[in-house]
Amino acid sequence: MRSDPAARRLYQLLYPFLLIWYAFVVAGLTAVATTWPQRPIGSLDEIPWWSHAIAIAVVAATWAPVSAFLDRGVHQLAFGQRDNAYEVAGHVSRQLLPSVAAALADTMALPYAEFVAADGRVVTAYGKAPEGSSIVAIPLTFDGHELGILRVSARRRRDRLSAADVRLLEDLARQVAMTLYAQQSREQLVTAREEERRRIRRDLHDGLAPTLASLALRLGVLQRSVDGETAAMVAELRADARQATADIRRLVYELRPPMLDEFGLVDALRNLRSDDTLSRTVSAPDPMPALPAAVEVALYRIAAEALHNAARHAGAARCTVELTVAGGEVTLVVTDDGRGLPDDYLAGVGHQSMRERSTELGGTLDIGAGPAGGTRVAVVLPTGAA
Amino acid sequence: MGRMTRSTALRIAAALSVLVAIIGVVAYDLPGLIAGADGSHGPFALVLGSFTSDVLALVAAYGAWRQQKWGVVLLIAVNAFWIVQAVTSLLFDEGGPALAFASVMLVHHIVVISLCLWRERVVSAV
Repeated sequence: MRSDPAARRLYQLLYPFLLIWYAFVVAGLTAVATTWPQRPIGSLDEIPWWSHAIAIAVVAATWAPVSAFLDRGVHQLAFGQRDNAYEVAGHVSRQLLPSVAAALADTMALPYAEFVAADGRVVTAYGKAPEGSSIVAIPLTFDGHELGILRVSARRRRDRLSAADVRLLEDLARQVAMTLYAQQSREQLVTAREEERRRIRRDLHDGLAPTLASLALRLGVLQRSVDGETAAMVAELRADARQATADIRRLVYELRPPMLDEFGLVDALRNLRSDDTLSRTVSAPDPMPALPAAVEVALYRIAAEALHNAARHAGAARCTVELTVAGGEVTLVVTDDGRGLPDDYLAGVGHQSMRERSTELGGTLDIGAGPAGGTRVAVVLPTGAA
Repeated sequence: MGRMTRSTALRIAAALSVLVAIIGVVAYDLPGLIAGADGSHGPFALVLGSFTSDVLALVAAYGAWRQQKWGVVLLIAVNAFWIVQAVTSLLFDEGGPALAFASVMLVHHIVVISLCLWRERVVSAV
């Protein structure tokens, strides 16, 4: 993402200015403290030299936290949330249709505008159609894909939109469809990737890994039946086969958490290993509906990260994991009884990772204080992403 | 405090600056301007400078209240200037009231600058 030159210049000027200014303020306050007995002083010459030495020491000692605070503050002022690209992307994506509906209605003075998804679900609606007014439906299509419908009403009762209005709406609908298509493509890409990973994992686990293990066993038999240089060569081959088996096991684990296939999502969450003896309660619908592979993996990884944070950073002893599925969405809520997020908390790598996993599937992530203290991590993912 | 949004922080900074600017105009600038260059106790340039900074603070507060970048930058600049004034007052002015006023102003200006650089917690995607 390119940065605005004016914003960059502001950052480059304001940050050093505030650092220098901070040093001067510390020097001034130190001078006030060191000349306190003889205040008020007549001129700056009366400030002793060691006052400046103390000021330098104070500036040096506080440099790291103060410069970090100023850096973050000026960066925020100059660039806003630019450094959190996933959050911005997710926000724009979620806010796009409601914003467009509101903007259309406001700028064209339309009393009613709504977006309907391809499956007939109303994604967002703005205003109310006047009684008896005609409704115009404009399809949102891109590259031959039907992505939904934009429905708007005429401005007054028993009225119709002009041809110019409809042409303008059709032009806007094309732009909206293009953006929607990009968003849906990304979700489909992630889903397809996870499904493919599941297939590859299954093939490796059920096909190649047993074959190699069997080969290693037979090489063991062969090794015992020969001797001399041949036996040494067979032993080497057997070690290679074992190494290849171990590599495949590692690859299988990295492709997709094995517990998801062996136990299913709910039991995988129950058996998820956290860093200590954190006790947990897992509640989920029974039976748990089948979810796309990408959604399962995202929920599993986010829960693992939340439990890890609860045990490692929040000092929690107990936590609850709740899974609910309703209205085409699955919600995972992890609540712990730890010390909660610190006031000066900033999202780290773990939280960024959780946010990326939810955003790339078109979901939302909320991290905040729990209802009875501690931390609450809530993620909502669409289940129809497959 | 950690949960305060950036817009709230900017509005508090703007309100604090308006308060101090109005106090400055009423208690110091207007009497000095009315007295004129000849009747003013201190150098008249200081009165003019103070009045200018107070007006700038009011303009900056308006911008900061509307969450405009220029307003926040101007508010930081004005308060940075005021801090120099406060430290100078602590060093050179006589009397308890002047000392107390300068101390309170010093804290005020540091708080306003901190609020202008407020970075809200990045925890919610919604």
